[in-house]
Amino acid sequence: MALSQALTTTPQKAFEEPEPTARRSSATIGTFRSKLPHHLQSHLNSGREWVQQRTATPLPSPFPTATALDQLLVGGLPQGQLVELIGRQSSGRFSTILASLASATRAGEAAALVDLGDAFDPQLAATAGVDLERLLWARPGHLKQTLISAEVLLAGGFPLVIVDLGNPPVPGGRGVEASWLRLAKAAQSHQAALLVSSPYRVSGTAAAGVVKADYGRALWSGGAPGPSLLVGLSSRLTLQKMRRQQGNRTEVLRLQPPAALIYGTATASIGG
Amino acid sequence: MPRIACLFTPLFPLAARLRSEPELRGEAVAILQGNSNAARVVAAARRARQVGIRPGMSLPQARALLPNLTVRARDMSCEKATQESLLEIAESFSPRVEDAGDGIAYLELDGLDRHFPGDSPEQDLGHALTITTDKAGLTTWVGIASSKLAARVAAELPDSPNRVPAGEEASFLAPLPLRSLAAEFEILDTLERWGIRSVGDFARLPKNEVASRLGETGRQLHEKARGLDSRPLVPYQPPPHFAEGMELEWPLVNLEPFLFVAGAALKRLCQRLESRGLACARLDTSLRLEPDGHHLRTIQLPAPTREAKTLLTLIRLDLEAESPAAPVTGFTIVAHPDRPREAQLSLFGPPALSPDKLATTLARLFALLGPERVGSPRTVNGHRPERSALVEYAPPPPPEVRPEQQVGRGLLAIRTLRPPVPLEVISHLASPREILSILSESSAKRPRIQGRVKVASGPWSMEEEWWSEKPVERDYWDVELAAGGIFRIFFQRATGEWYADGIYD
Repeated sequence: MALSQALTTTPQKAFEEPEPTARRSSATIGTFRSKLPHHLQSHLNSGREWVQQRTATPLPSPFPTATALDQLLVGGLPQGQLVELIGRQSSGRFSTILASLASATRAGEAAALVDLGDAFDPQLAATAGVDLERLLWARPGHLKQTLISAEVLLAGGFPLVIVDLGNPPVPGGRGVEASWLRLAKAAQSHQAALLVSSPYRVSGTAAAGVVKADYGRALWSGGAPGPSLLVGLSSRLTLQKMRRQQGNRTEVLRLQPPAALIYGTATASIGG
Repeated sequence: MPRIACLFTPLFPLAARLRSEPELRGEAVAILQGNSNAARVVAAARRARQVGIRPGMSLPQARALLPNLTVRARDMSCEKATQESLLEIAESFSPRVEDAGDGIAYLELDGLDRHFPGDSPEQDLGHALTITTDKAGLTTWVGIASSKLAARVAAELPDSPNRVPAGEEASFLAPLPLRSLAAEFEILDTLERWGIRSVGDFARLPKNEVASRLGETGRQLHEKARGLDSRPLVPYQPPPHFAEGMELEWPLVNLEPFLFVAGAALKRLCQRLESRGLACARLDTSLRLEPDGHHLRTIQLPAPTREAKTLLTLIRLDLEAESPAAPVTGFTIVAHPDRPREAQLSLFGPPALSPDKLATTLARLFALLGPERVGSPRTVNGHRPERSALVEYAPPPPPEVRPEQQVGRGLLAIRTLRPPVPLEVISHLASPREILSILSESSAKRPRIQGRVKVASGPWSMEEEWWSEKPVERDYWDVELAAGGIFRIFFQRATGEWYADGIYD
C-alpha cells in the first residue's frame, strides 16, 4: 500500500481533532503505522516516542573507579556530571580517589587531582597503581583557589578531575553554590568526569550524584594479649542521589592496606 | 635577472600607529615628531589631508585647519614592531628578504610562480601579499620588477599590485626625475649641472664614460637608471625574539587601562608567533616609568603558549604582585619563542590533551597557585611519607589501543598530614592509650585528633639518614580511636615527641 493511499484511508477525524491524551495519540500513530508498508513503519514516530528514544540513548561511557562506587553509579563516574562523595574521616573516601586515579591513568587517560588538604602521597599512589606521569597534582591553599583550579582543569580538557577538600576544617568553608553550579556546567560542557570528595555536602543542587561513605570499620588481626595488625577497612557506600537512577542503594567498600604497610611502613620491621 | 617584489607601506609612521590603535582608522589623525612647538606633522590620515594638513606643518597650523584633529606622537617602538611584522610576512612568502626600513621590504620571487599557477602568477602573488598584509593590520602596496628601484617605484603607484615586465625597467624608469635614483648623492648635483633632468637622460649616457668621470658610485647609479641591479638582496636576520610595544599618550596609574592596551599588543604578538608556527616560552615586560625609570618583569611559562588571554592574565597577576613605583608612560612586551608542544592523535586509544590547551592550563595554574604547587608528582628517596617531589607536567602520549580495565585491589590509602600534627599521648607500657592534638595558633586549621585509643598496633621502626647529623628515627603506630578514625602516629626518638602523619581513609 502506498503512503498516499494510507493517508487517504485514514479517518479524517484524526486530522481534525487535537490529540486529547497520550493514549489517543499513540493509538492514532498505531493506526497510521499499520497502514504503511512494512519497510516504512519504523520511520513513523510520534513526538513522544522520539523523545523517549532520545532520552534512552546511552550516555558516554563512564570512568570506572574499580571500587564499589562502580556498582552504585552503574559503571563508574559519569562523564559531564559532578558526583559528590561525602564522608567523615576513615570512611574510604581517599582510597576511592586513589582507585579512580589509578583506573584512569592505567587506561592511558590524563587525570587531575585538586588536593586542598595536601594529602596525596606519591609513593602510596604509585603502589596503588597510579601512573604518576599522567597525573597533574594541584595543591591550592583555600576553597576559592580549589574551585578556580578545577574549572581551569576542566576547560583544559582533562577527562577526569578529582577535587578533594580533605578533612574539616576545610579552608574556605562550603563555598558559594553558584561556584559549584559553574563547576558542574564546566564539567558538562567539556564532557569531563568530576568527583568532589568532601567531609560534608558542599555542592548543593550542582551535584548530579551524591554518595555517602559511612564511618569505616577497621579490621584487625590478632589482638590482646598479642599484637594487633591492621588488615583492612570496611565501609558502606550509600547512593543518596543520582539523576535518572534510583537512590538509596548501598554497597560495601572493602579496602586492604598495601603489603608494604602490613609489613611495616616501607622498610620498617614488625615490632611490638 | 631575478624578479623582485617591493612591499611599500605608505605613510609608515601613521600606518604603524593605526596598527597599534585600530580604533583610530577613519578618523582625522596626524602623527607629529618633535617636542611642543617644534613638533611637525610627519604623516596625516586621508581626512586630515583633505582639509590641507601636510607633512612639515606645525601643530598650531594643523589645529588651525582642523580643530578636532587627533594627534599622536611618532612612536619608534610601534614602527619597529610594524617593520618586523612586515618582514615576517615577506619571509612567509620567500626565504630571500631584504629590510629596507621605514615600511619597505624587498623579496626575491624566484621559484614562487609554481605556487601561483594561473595566467599571471606575479599579479596573483601581488594580490596574495596585499591580502596577507591587510590581515596583519597593514595597508601595503606591492610593486614587482627586475630591479629594486623599479619595484619600489612601481609599488608607489596607485592600483597595487603593479608589475614591470622583465626587460622594460629602463623605459619604465626613464620619465622619472633624477632625484628618484637617490636623493642624497652629490653626483646628482653634478648631473643636473650637465643638464640631465630625468633618469632616461642619464641612462642614455655611455656607460664607460660615466664610470671614468663619476667613479664607482656613478657607475652604480647608471646601472640603476638602466634598470639593472647587480647586487643581491641583503639577507634579513630576524631577531631572536618578538617584541611589541607603544608609547602611551599620557601616564597610566591604574592597572586596568594598562591591561587594555597591553592586551591589544599581546594579540598582535600572538598573531605574529602563530604565523611563524611558534609559541611564547618566556615573556619580558618592560615598563617605562615617569619621569625616567624602568620596571622589568620576566614571566617564565611552564609550556610554550600563544593564547593572548592567558598571557594577559599572567601579566595582570605579576603586576598585581609587584606594581611599578611610578606612572607608566610606555611599554615593550618581548616574547621569547619556542616550538609549541605537539601531539599525535590516536584512532583507538584515549584522546591526548591538546598541547595548546595544556600549556594554557598550566600557565593559569602557575599564576594562580605558584609553580611549586602544580606539577606531576614524583616519589623521592626515603621513607618519610610527608616528602614528595613535583616535576613539570608533560604526560606521555596515550596508548594506541585502550587497555582492558583491571579489577581494583581495593587498596586502603592513607591521607597524609603535611606537616605532621603534634600530639600529646598518654601511654601505658609504651603503648598509646589516649591521644590529643596540641593546640596552637598554627594547629587551629589542622584536623583535631583526640580520644581514647581503642586498638593500637606497633611500633614499626623507621630509620632514615642515619649517616647524617640529624638522622630520622621514628616508631610508628596504627591506632583506632574509640570515637572513630584510624590514624598513623609516630614517636620521634630524638625529641621524644609524638606526631600524627596520616589518616587511614
